[in-house]
Amino acid sequence: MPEWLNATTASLGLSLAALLVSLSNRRTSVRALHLSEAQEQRRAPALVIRVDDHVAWNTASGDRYVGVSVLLTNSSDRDGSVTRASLHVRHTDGIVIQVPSSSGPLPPGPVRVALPMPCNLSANSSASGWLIFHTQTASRGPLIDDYTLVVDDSRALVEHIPIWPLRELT
Amino acid sequence: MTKMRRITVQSDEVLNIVSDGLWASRAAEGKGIPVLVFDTSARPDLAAVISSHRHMPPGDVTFGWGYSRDRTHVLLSLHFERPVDATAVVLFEIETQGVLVDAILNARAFYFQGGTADTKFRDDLDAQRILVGVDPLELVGEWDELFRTQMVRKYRRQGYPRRAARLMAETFIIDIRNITRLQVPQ
Repeated sequence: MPEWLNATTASLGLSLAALLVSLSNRRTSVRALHLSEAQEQRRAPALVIRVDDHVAWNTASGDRYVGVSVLLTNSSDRDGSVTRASLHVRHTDGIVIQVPSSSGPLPPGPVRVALPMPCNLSANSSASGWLIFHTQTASRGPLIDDYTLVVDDSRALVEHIPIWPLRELT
Repeated sequence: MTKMRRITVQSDEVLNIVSDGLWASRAAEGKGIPVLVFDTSARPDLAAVISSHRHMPPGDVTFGWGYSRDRTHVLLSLHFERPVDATAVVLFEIETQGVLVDAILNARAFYFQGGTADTKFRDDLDAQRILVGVDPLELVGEWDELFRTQMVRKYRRQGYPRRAARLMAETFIIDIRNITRLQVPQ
């Protein structure tokens, strides 16, 4: 066998080995890329709001309140906080009045817990409770068309959730 | 606008409306909310959905709107997730029950009441019923056309000329909305 053929075979073998190593490295790199993308996705701001109940009632003094029971979940790997919750009351003439959450009375009935605003939500944590809105301030001539809960997060997230129809408590 | 999805329903999930009414209360700020009474005698799961709400907070319900290929029926698919897991499909014939669909879309809600084939809404105004909130979703963009077309067809079948049938359908829809969209101050 000529000497040049030995050299070619050896070179081919080395090239194949290098190809296999590079393919293996590529697979590792792709896996690392996916992991880093998933990690980045988990770090993206995320706020999940589940509304469990929404009620309205009048107090003995004649004031009207709306209560919304919520579960707030920060599903990202970064800390955050809910800075504000407001109830947007839309009237039949199209005018929307924003009612901020207040520390008013809790809905009558079983023991309930208020959710104070602002509310800190560390990474992958939840908070639940009742948001109370004194809707007396939204009373005006035209009738009410609907309600929307608007929640602002410190990471520039704003969530709109229709709250309709309300369960009337007596 | 969201496109309608294809919904396949099982015939045993379809509920029959045996009676209906319109109820205005503070729940929808005085808007008339349709009360639909269903024959749930063969559906103990739905009876449990209604009775479980007597002492429990409202459960979650997911829903979807659809209509038949011949555009004569609208269906509302309901999935009660909590506290009892149950599925139901309400089929509305537009020609005879379109008023109910129109009222549901306006109130974005309806009362779900169980009963037997003989139950009448007026016989027991205090009967237990649950309030179900439903958004018009993808149906809202198509409903007016569906409703109008079916009403025109109805009047055409009764022998009215095309133009008269269109006018009668328009008048019928305006008249019926004057009633169902009345909002009673609370």
